[in-house]
Amino acid sequence: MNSIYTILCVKWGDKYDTDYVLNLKEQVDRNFSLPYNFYCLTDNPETEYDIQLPTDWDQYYDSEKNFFWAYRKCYMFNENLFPNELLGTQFLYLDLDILIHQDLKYFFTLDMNKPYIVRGWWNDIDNCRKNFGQIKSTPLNSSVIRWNRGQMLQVYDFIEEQPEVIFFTYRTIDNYFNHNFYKVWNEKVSFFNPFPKGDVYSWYKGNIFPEDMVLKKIREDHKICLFNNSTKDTFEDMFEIEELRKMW
Amino acid sequence: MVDYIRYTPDITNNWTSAHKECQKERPWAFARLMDSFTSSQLEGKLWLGSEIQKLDIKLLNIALLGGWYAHYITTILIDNCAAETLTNFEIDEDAHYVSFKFNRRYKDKKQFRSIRRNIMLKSLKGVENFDGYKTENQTYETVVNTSCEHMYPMWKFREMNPQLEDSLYVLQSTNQKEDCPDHINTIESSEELVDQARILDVLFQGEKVLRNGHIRFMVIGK
Repeated sequence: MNSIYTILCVKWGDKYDTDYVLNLKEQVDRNFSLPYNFYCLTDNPETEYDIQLPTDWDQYYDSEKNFFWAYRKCYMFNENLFPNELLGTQFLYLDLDILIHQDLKYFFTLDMNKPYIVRGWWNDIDNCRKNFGQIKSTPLNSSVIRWNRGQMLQVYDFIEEQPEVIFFTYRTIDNYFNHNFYKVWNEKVSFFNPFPKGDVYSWYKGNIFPEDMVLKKIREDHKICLFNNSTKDTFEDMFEIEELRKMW
Repeated sequence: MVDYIRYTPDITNNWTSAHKECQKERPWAFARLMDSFTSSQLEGKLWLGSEIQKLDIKLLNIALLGGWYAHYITTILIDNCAAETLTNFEIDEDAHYVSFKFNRRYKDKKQFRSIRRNIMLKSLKGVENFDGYKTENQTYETVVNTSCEHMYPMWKFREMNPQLEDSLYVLQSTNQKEDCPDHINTIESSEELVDQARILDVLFQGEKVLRNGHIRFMVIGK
């Protein structure tokens, strides 16, 4: 397929097995009414849609310090790293542990004056402001990102310019975004646009603070449900969650 | 010896207003503001002032890195150590604005200002001087950083700011790790701080156990 629309995911290590990629692809097949390219950037390419992840930044990675630092996602923001492999001009990145409720076509109808990221509306923004200096409580969530070719290059370049400082300072990609590409004190002038309220919610954290914070509740009128299992203390396989079985 | 702050009517005006305005306009920041008023915070700054006095250093214009609310430190450096000006480079917008309130008496005399900046990712080149002119080579005779534990080792700052190569560096850090996930760069000795900042001419290095039980390390040198 050679479409202008491209769906991307990233898989490395053994936290998620290939079933998660297959599940995501099946969900996209069912929930995207436009022709699209599908790629998985991975450290272990096996299928025709897999693309080898670069390893340039591995040298800065300290597993104890950077355990939750999903820096590998940031390679995709420089599309030129994959000149003959990554087709399309309009990109939608999706985490592997998500549940898609509605047609992804929606994400390609947004006004793209700026790239979009999940603003976790379940976060209390006052708490995010309070903890900004302590590099925690980010309102951003990088599980779904929408951008046009070239729009995210500066996010890649910024790491490339000072990788040792970035890796030393930030424990998560979302904190990296929050400190350098978002303004918690004036969200309207940020580098990113937030997906509007009602688009994306969290299975474990809720939907909108403070009025709709019910956890573990399906909201089929939303576009996507996030699980974000990777930063939880105890991993829960989303395929085994009773309330969700009928959704797969 | 600097063992107290002169609590003048001007200070009480500024500090009372700062507390009130923070509570009213930035209530989410108030708990953090209170954290900045601990006895250990004051002990560390008084120690810094005392050692500077002993060395009889002329501080002149100071770049304060990550100065947070900058209440104790500005007062000590200007009132007790005769600094001419102090510029606070602070990443946190709340702290940046509230630091103006605490130091209004100095701001009005063009002795204090605060600039929002992540000093480990952006150099100080191109910052306006107190007269409002931007210059690539504005220098500060003294660079003070009492929060080295919160950031990448200081050699990086020096590398990014060659225009400050002749400046005097006054640095503090700590070994305090527990309950402080934001202490991303704790150390175990003042020698480590010397190494991290690549200080070649050490005028002072030492350590002090604060009332919170943790050790504060300090290095002064070039």
